[in-house]
Amino acid sequence: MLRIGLPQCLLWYDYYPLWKTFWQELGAVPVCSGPTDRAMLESGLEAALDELCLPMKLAHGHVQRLAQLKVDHIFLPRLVSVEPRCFTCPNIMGLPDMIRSRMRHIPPLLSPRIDLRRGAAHLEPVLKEMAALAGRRPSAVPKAWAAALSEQGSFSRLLREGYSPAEAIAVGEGKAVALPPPGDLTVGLVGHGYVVYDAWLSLNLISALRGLGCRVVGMEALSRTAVEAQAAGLPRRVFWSSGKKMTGAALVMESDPDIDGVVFMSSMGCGPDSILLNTVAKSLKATPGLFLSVDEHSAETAVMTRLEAFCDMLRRKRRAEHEPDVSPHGQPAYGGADPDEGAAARPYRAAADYG
Amino acid sequence: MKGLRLDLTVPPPITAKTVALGSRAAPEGSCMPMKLNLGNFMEALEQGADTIIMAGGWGPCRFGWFAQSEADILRDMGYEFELLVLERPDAGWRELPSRLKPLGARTGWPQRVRALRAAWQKLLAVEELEDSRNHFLPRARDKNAVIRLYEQGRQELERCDEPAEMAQINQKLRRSLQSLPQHRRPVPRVGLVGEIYTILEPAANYNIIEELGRLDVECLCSARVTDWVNDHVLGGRAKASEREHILRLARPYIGDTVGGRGQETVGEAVMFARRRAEGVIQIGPLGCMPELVAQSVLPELSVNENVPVMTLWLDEHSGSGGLQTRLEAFADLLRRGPAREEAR
Repeated sequence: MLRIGLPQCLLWYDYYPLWKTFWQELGAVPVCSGPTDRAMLESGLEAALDELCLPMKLAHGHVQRLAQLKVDHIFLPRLVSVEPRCFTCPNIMGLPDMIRSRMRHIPPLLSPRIDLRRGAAHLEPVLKEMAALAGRRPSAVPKAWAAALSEQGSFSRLLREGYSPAEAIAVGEGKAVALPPPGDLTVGLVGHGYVVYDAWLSLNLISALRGLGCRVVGMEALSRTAVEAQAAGLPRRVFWSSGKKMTGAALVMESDPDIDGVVFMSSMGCGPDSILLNTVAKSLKATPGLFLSVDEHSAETAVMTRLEAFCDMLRRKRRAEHEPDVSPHGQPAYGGADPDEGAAARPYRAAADYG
Repeated sequence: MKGLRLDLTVPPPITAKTVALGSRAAPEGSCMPMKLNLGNFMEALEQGADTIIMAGGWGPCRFGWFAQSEADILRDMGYEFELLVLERPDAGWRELPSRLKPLGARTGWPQRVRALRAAWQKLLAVEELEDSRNHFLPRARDKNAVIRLYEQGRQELERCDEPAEMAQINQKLRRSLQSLPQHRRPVPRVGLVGEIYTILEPAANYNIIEELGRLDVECLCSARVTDWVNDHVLGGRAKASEREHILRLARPYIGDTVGGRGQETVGEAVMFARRRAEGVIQIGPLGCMPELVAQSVLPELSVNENVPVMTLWLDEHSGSGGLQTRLEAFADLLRRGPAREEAR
């Protein structure tokens, strides 16, 4: 049986159910490299260029792991574009070239060009090529592809219900996964899927937030039409798929009264994020936001401290809204019970209290 | 612009102040071109400019979002201006005339065409002038004399609008450069490849062409404004283009576009190696994504084509001293190169 290696990095978090099912339907065995770990970082650092972002370095590590798992081919498509009028990012587009050039002694790369800028029609020859590799006739493609799309559809539905990609995949594989009880806070999560959903890379961001009593709302849990509509309202069209989703999602979260705060996690050195951070930050007006930047030197405790502080602030803000004489800054906002008292008088009153 | 009867505020030359202004305002993770660009605009707006003209694009390089992001930042800082982005319109070519209307408001069509043609002639003339400098600087004994003559020619060109006069200036410069005494040491040739702004803007590359020239190294460089305009705006109609050839050379290493000049960098490196350049230097702003892809494959290319390759990432923290040391070491390596081959 043909063993096809799927590196568990980058857009794996978005499309794994699709490709897994497609290869299975063609009679091949998809093999994942597994969740990111320390050894992958080390082999990635060795193979990859120093200046790349952490997810890129980890991708090299995931490929190295697949080589150890004795797969026949590594499926690493050249992802130019996954939707009309959008690109992925220059580094994702060039990843197959970088891996091929810098890593020797790995199984052959299977890197068909996937470019959906002008629609999905050109996918057909790519899929037929994959079928031929698995020893199947081109006529096997439509059925396998339909099954793959249906699996991807149920994956998306689970994400809408609030499961993380890892949980949704487990559910898809027949395991029983219970969503954690909703906490007293609801926090929106913005960032590339391969950053925020990679537990190792994001320093357990999701479980940390849940542990602090937050219900976590990912970008995939939002209505896709709403995200698209908000992104379309920006003064300039964002031409990276992930960037478009992030900027649109931030605006949707801002207008959602259920969402108490937004956490935006980015990987140090990400080009699109460096430009779009300003746009995301500006779209968060009434909703507080926390920006976290991670790389291979980040520590879990440092992230934890900032998340705790952020959650404390969100709770205080809520109390301040419900009980008008509690200030979000900790001190009573004013001494008197009369809210109409002139603002200018307050500092003098406070000074007199200390008197 | 002068031909369109517009009042032009050219941002003052890039200085340490420009870099400081731009770095303070730009997002920390952005690349050096954006920081310099922002600094330029801030200085131009201080001088009273009311419209910003900037090139654009629709990805995947970050450059396509510069205009928007810079305008947002500048408006937040309290500057007031109109933004005009020159690019292929998102909604199709038909939108272009309405976008460009404000530029031509004070002129009729014949004048507009004349203005464009004059601008093109001038670009070509400036590039010819640079070519002369690049050829004679490494060979001349008195490097300062070459620079002096070149600067003089450049100032003359700036004032002149007649193509015939431009040709004369270029001829005069070539003649006076030819008359300078030359040394007899070998002149190694280096192919300069990389991100286009960094190659073209001396302030962004710490004047690398001149520095190499002072080390008796000649720079071969195929990134030019006219080529870029020809290939990306005019569809290769204005002059012969090497682009197809360069992309073909790049494909064994980078099979498809990665945005920016990622593929061109690799293709030009191969081209220069085959034209018997003794070395290749890649330069780019720190964090430039397409150039990172190119750099990733350069070690393999260096072995295949038997050519030394060095990559220099530049940003506002690079020091000219550190750069100088690396260039000297690379120049030494190039001069020793053929001897090492014979010893083998």
